[in-house]
Amino acid sequence: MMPLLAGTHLSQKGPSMRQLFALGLVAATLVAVPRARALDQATVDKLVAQVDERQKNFGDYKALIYMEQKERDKNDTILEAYVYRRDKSDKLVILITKPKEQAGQGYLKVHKNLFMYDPTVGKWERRTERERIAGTDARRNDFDQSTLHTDFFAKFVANEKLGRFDVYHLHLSQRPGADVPYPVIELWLDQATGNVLKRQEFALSGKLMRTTYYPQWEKLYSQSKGDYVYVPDQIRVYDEVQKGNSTTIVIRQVDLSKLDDSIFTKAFVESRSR
Amino acid sequence: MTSLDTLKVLVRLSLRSITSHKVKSLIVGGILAFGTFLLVLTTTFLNNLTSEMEHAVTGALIGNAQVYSSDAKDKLAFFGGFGQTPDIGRIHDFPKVRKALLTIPNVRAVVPMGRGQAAAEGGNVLDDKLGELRDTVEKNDQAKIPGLEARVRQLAGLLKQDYLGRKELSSNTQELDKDLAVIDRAMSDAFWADFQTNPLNDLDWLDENLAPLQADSAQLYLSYLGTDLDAFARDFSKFAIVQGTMVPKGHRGILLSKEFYDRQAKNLVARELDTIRDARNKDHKTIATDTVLQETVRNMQKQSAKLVYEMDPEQSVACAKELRAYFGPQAKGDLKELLRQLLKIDDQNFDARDREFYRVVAPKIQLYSIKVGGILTLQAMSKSGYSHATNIKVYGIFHFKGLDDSILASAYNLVDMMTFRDLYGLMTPAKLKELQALKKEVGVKDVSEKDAEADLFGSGDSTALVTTGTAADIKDTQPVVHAKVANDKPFTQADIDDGVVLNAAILLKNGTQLYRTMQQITQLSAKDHLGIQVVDWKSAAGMIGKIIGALTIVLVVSFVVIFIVSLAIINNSMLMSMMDRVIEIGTMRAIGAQRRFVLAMFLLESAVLSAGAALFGILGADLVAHAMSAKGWPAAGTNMILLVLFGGPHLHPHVTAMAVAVGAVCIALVSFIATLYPAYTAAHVQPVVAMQRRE
Repeated sequence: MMPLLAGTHLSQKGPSMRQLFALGLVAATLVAVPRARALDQATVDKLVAQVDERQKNFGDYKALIYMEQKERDKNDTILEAYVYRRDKSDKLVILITKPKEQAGQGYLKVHKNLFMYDPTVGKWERRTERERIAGTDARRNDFDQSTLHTDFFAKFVANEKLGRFDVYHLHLSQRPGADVPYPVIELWLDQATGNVLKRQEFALSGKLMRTTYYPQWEKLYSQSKGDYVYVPDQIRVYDEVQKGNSTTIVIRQVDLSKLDDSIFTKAFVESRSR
Repeated sequence: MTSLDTLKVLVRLSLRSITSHKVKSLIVGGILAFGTFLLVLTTTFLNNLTSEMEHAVTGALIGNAQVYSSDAKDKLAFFGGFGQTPDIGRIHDFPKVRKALLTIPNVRAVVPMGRGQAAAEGGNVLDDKLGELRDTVEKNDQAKIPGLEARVRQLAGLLKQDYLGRKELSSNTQELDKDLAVIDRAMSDAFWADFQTNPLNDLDWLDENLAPLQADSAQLYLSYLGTDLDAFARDFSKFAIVQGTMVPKGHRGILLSKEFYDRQAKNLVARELDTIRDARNKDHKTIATDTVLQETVRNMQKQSAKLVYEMDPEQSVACAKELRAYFGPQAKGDLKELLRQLLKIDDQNFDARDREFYRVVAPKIQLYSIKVGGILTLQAMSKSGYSHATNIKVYGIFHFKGLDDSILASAYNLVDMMTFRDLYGLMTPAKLKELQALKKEVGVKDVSEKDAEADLFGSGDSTALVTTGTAADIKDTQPVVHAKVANDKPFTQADIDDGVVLNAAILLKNGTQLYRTMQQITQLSAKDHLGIQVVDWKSAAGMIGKIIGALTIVLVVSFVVIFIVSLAIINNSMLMSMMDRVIEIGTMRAIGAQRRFVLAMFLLESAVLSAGAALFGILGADLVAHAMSAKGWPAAGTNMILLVLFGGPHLHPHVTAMAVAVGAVCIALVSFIATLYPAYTAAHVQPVVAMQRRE
């Protein structure tokens, strides 16, 4: 059998000073590096709640985003859009501004309703939670406030490495009644900053649907929150069903000032493209 | 002795042999006659199927041949492909191609085409009515508002009944109480009083809170064929408008196929009734014995609530009154219950209930979710990767004469070329430039999934994962400029021709010259650099065309089997007959008959036998074909593919000259080969051996 640690065999006569020193060193290392241990449930819940909390802005949120969709054997699809969010009342508007071919299309989410507007036909349509935003791999929740703690149960899986970084690997499963696109999520959080670096979403059957990376976060001070709001600079979504398809979302600018109430209405989306 | 004398002797000897060896002659003749019968009949069927199908396919959708880009990634196939539209590229200069093809004397017409798939809008009745109310409010059409308000309140009332019913059955009523509170608010006078002053806010509230409480209706998916509609109507002989009108020249519009309209856009209950009627009348099924029909009846009854939603308050009252009158004293319950009772169908009451549904209920509901004369919103994923939507007027319903219920009839709906091009969404150089500029402005690095972890997290430390920034002041007041679709602008013939065309139908003056004309097209394409390839109708039909190919293979294999079995039996019979005649042959040889004479005697005997047998076989096949033709062989009720193969609901087979020729030649060949060895053996019989045998 392989020794647990090289050079730590205990002799029949009892431990030597060198062996005692080695054992002490191992014990000290284990105590000194609490990150390497499994997390208790309370810490896991706290970490997931922190992910939501950091991204939440108690006021409003407006962002200029860029989306690029790659599909095998097809032209890249590129979009520029404004995202308007009011977390307090669970409202979201996505308004596509470029290219001209798609400009004016918009999404309005109010509570559990997601509507899509197309100015070329001047009509609204009700869409499902799994709607591919403007045909990309992005979903509504990629732009919306994070509600992982309220929508999922989380449990610790392991301490792992993601590239050079030490990460906590967590397993999230849907809470009863939660309206989410995928019922199971595997999450990798940076141990140093607590930010999400990687996320994998699974269908109920266990099939992996999407892998998402968040390579960089930006923290912005919010007056309304009185604290920093964390915003991912980039989101890279890889489609695991249609292999080779991917979407990159770049959040180019974020504005945390108060938005007009009229923005979160169908009339606003319609009027912007008239 | 002259050759004629020799022939006379040979014929006489052959006939004598045939009549004197009756058993052998009957076996061999019977086999040959049966073989001929099968060959002629099956060839007749194949010839008839091919010609009927050719007639159907060329006259309905595909033409005699199709041309498409020589650089196409996939093969052109109108049918099959499991929902995927093959990538056939596009014809780069259609006006030039058409002009060149029309110089070939046998080419009658070249019709431009392009295919795609689109989703037509879904939404439930509440969504539809709230949409109408929003339009009305935005247009400030005060006269229409009260009617729509009453309709929304009625729908809310119906929802309330449903939700109260659910509450009685549910153990957890908390969520249902919340929903009922929403319904109550939507029904209240206070809400509609507020609607007078804040209509758009209240509409948003209804959209977000009330409409989701009603189950969504299914979305419609349709395949469309973009074409020059006038040319299509002129050049495809089986095309006919059955409802509405043709799309006016130079205007955008869609013509829906009757099959699609009846099978997809029709009210579900009406559709189920049609299905049961067809199953009973065409397939001779009964509800009592068919489990699928029984399930259909059960499903139909569950739709009674949806029928109630479709009627406005006045229609509901009228419908209930008429149904009560129909049922008489047995009528019980509200309209929903009366409808359920009406749809409780069995074999005895089917005809009466079917009639009653169409008399009382159908006029009061929206029988078709798409109205002729109305606007249909189509949404499709374009070639450039973006979703494209367009509003298009439904001008009419068409069918292909004699092909109702067939796969050809239901496969495609027809749109004008301009609408097709909008939905196709070609990536133009201008669009590409716009995208490239945007990409350059943002400067996103491409990272493959394989390298993502190494590229994104392979360097730096955790401090690099979070940066501190300042919130921007985003100016977003500029109006969003979108590419407008000129739906109302009329277009010219030049507009139709000069644009994206994926493939084109070639219609010939003389269809029998198809392959020669195809050869000419290929040569012309090479000479004039047209960049096209040509395929015949069978190949363009895809899955359907392959059926003919598969049938031909089955037929050829059957021929070979019949050939080999007949060969073995005939050979054996002839050999045995020869053995019986060894003494006779020996005697003939002893008195001077040459080997050639013996050989000829046997071959002639076989030829006479096979000619007689072939005659019987052909006559038999002709009689059978005639009998079938008189009544027509039905295309198995509602089988969509057989309807195409048969070129209509019945096949009327007739024996063709080709079938007779195939039968006669094959049988003559079998008979000749089978006789060769016995004849050769007989020719080599030694007179001495024959004498010895006698002794």
